[in-house]
Amino acid sequence: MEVFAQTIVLSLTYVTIYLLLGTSVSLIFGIMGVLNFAQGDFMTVTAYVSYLGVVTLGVGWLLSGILILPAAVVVGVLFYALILRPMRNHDPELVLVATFGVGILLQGVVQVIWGGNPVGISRSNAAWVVAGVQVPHSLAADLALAGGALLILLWVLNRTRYGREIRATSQDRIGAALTGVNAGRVEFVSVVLAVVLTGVAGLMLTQHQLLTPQVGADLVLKAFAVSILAGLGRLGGLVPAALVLGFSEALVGTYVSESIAQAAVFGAVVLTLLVRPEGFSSVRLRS
Amino acid sequence: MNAARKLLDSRPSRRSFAICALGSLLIGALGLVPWGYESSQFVFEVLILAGVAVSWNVLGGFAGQLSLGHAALFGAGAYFAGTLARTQQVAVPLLLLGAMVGGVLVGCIFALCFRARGAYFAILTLALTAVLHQIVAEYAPGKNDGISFDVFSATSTAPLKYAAGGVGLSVLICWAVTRSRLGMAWRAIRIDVDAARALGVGDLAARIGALMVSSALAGFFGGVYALNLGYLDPPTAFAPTWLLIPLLATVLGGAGTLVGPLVGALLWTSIAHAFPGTWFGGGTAYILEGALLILITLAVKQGVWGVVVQLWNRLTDGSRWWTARRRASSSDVSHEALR
Repeated sequence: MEVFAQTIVLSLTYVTIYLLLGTSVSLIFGIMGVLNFAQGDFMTVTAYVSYLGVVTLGVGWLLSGILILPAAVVVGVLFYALILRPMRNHDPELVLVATFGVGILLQGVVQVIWGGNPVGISRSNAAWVVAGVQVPHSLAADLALAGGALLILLWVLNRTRYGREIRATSQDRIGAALTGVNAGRVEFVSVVLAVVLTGVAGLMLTQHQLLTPQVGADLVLKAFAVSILAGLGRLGGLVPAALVLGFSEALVGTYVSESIAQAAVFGAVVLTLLVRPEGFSSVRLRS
Repeated sequence: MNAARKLLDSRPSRRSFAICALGSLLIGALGLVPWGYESSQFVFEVLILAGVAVSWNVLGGFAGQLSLGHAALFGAGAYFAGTLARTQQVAVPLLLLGAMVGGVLVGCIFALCFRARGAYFAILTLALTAVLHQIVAEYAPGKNDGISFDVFSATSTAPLKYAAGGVGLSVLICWAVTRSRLGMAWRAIRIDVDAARALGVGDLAARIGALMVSSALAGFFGGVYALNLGYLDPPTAFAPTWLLIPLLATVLGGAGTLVGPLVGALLWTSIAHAFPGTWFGGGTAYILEGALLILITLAVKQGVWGVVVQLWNRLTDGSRWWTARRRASSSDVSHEALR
């Protein structure tokens, strides 16, 4: 039972990372109709920026998040202005290949600046012990960060003009444009929002594992899995989808085998796409 | 009309066949050149990549089905050939036949993915590849540690011959198939699947046909690669390399053309070798490759080979290419892009 509880607690970190990444993927897919393979590499870049803050500038982990914000905004603006906007009328499959190109380019930039070897910040192992289960202090920071970021996103989506426009556009692109929604602005705002969310995931990642230029590209598949389970382009079911995926990955990995755990995660994606491609949540971009 | 243009999209004609056959023979002859050790490694890498790229091009270029599953087809071929080589004493051509059968068998599983289209198809093939990778890691002979076998000696030039002959034959096969009824159906569904269906083109049959040809070719090159390597483990056989690089090289060279994948493979391997590192090369190579891909998808669309053909046409037309405007509008560009 203790092993079970410990597995669940430790998996929560990656659940939140998958959740943030998956939300970004879904947001961009919902608005732009683009499956963004570079999303993981955006996380890599922001994670390295946080590493830069901690190790090179010595500002401490949480403060390095302040560096991430402008970095994420710059990446988001460039990504939208140089790739997504000019390619708005292109074949979606060509855009998908272009996002691969962006990802490879970013991996190259990271590798040239920081080298290909794993790097990391010194991490603390401090933990509370609750009923025999170790609860790392870092987990609290993760949950607070991810929860805060998602609450802000919910607030933007539900309570601001931009949010209403984003929801309207994702429901009916032409209808929204006809009622006077500025499609370009909606796209711009949602892409930047998505990259900033990814930046939060990058900040969390630095705290938990060594970074390599490929770290994001490896994790982005899990984000796809989460967003497909909830339904690509839908923000409704992302939290349960991330919980189900993260928990089952961790539990099967602990009790059966790591290979079977990975097979189960992607098997779930295959089954979802075959049986219910629209995903298991019924609401689109609503809280 | 000139020869290069004809090679690209003419109807069956002797001239186009002659050019293609000559090209295939030249590629095959690469296997007979006495390369030094270093350059033979390079040529082998180019040829394997070109072979998988040609295979990807059948499904992703000619038929327009963006596949992210070629790592599984390649890996299946590799594992079938490797396991056969380890357990049976049979001739190499039979091992490679086994690799092709393996590719086709896994290809049959991938036929499931045709339930989805576009981005959903792509992600479905990717997820299925991940599942197959893990299943092999858990249940195949050798499990995660892999298997080793001894078919070729380290200095043997035979793998290069098989790779060169394979690429030459694949190009010829592509030439023949794209000019058959099946190839016409691929072109139709690539340009507009709904219109093609309305005209009575069986789109599922055409897509499955493309998948079968593609998976047999991918399996073959997986087999050659594995036999040359002498050992095999799941991360090698199913490396994302095998789904990414063929796709990227093909788009770079020109998807949906006969020559595009070959040009792309040569270009990609050259960049990766100029800045050594992984299959992608070092960091600088990543930057170059990424930037090139963005440029191609953003502006040039028909790939490096398409640009060469265009320049050639302009020059031979008598008009000056640097003054000629691009006439294509954005809507037919997307169709052009995959030609």
